[in-house]
Amino acid sequence: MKTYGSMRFWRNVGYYAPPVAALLVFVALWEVYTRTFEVSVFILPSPSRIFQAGVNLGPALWGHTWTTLYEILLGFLVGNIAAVALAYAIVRWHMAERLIYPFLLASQTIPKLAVAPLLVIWFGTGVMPKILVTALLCFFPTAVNVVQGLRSADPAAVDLVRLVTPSKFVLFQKVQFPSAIPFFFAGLKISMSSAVIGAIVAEWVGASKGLGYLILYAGTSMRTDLMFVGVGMTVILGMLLYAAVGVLERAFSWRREG
Amino acid sequence: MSLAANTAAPAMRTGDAISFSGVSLTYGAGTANQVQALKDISFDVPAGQFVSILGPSGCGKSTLLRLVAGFIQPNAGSVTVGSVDPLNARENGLLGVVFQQPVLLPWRNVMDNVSFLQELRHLPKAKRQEVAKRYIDLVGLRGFERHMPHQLSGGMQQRASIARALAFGPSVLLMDEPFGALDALTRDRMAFDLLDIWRRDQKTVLFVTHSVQEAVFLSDIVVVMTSRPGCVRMIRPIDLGRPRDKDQRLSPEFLQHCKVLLTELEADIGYH
Repeated sequence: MKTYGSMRFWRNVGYYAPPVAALLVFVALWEVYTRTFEVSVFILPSPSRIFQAGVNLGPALWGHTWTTLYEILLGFLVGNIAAVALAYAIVRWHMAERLIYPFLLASQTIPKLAVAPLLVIWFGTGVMPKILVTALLCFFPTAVNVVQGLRSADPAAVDLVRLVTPSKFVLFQKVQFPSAIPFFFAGLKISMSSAVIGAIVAEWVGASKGLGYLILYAGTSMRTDLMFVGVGMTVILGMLLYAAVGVLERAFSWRREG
Repeated sequence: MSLAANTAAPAMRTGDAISFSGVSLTYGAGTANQVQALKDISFDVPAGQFVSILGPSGCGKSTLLRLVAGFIQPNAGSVTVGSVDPLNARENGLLGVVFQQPVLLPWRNVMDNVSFLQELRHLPKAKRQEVAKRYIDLVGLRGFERHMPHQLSGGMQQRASIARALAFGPSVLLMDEPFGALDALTRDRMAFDLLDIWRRDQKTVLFVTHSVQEAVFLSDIVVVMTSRPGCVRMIRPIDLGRPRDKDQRLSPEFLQHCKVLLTELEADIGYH
């Protein structure tokens, strides 16, 4: 007779096995393809070759990963704090909406890669311009979603609060903000993927470490295998961070049900 | 158009809880598409009584409630609640509202929803939960304190919303078609239970409905409104005695009241 715990274990195995198997099959096919057709390592290195390149890099790889993770997290934090503050202002004051929205839209159409050198001129080659580019890239999805979320509050619930207190802050704290939480997390997920791209893009200009720098360096020195190490590590990092947001969502969000 | 003359004043009457005098309201006044929603509304709701506003959709019944709650202001005339204006009444916590939808906050359980308004007033947690518990019991939701709104039926959600309004401790309860979204059987049951709750927790109730039977069954006084612009067409005291029971709904007196009110309503909508 199976215990409840072991049943859950097997159900989890059943849930995660297919995607993991699909990934393994993909890697295996890739390996077989590169070996069978003797594809040049400059064009497409085999997974084993890439893995070896990563191992050879050793602690340096962790250093690059840590740098990029640090930039992603800080940029994500700064960008999302700004996003929530802007969203609050937009919903709270009509004038703010009219003033801020053009800038919001403009900030999204700025070619970030093109202005990154400018940020280097302004802020140097340290971590600051990376955080700014990351923040600039990742704040938009959160801001837009939170604005929509704050406005999703039930008008009758707003009336209910008005019946007791005229305070706009209490309304925000007790009704509008909780209403916006599912929207906030939807925004955070997109924002997290953007933050990863932001940090990598920022490292393409004036960086001396980080996964973006590794990719750029590998590209200019014809080390395709190293390039794949950088890209692969970025993908793993991105997926883990996305999953982390999912964990936070499950812990702190509520869902409209029934 | 005071009702004092033609209603048998109950013993606990202490004056008029709500009073409308010459209230008119026009939406979009001064623009091309202005709509007169209310025209020269005057009537009083005596304290402690159950008064229904009966009328077809769009006759301004709900607008009347929004005026009492101070969400909107009349263009002419005045509304007073316990001799003060609605905004003051609101500040003093005199007003409770039940909407057509339960309007429970989906991220809070029943206990936290029922004690929500007291929380906004910064009542200590133990105290507000104690009050909430009393009203959860009163509306028949004992044992569901930790349930989330989506786990309750429509009728139970509306019970929770009534408990929330009562736990706030208002002296006037405004109910805007509170049973409108429920099925017919639940609706009858809720009306019956509401009377029971009202008997034990006596407040002035201003109840909006478009159901003639519901109005007669619940009320001391029924105010019939007509539409475009909304005005008072009839004020009819319902002298059926209390407490009321289900069987009364088939009594000749009950049906007579329904007939008179229905005739007024039908005259308005041009139904022959």
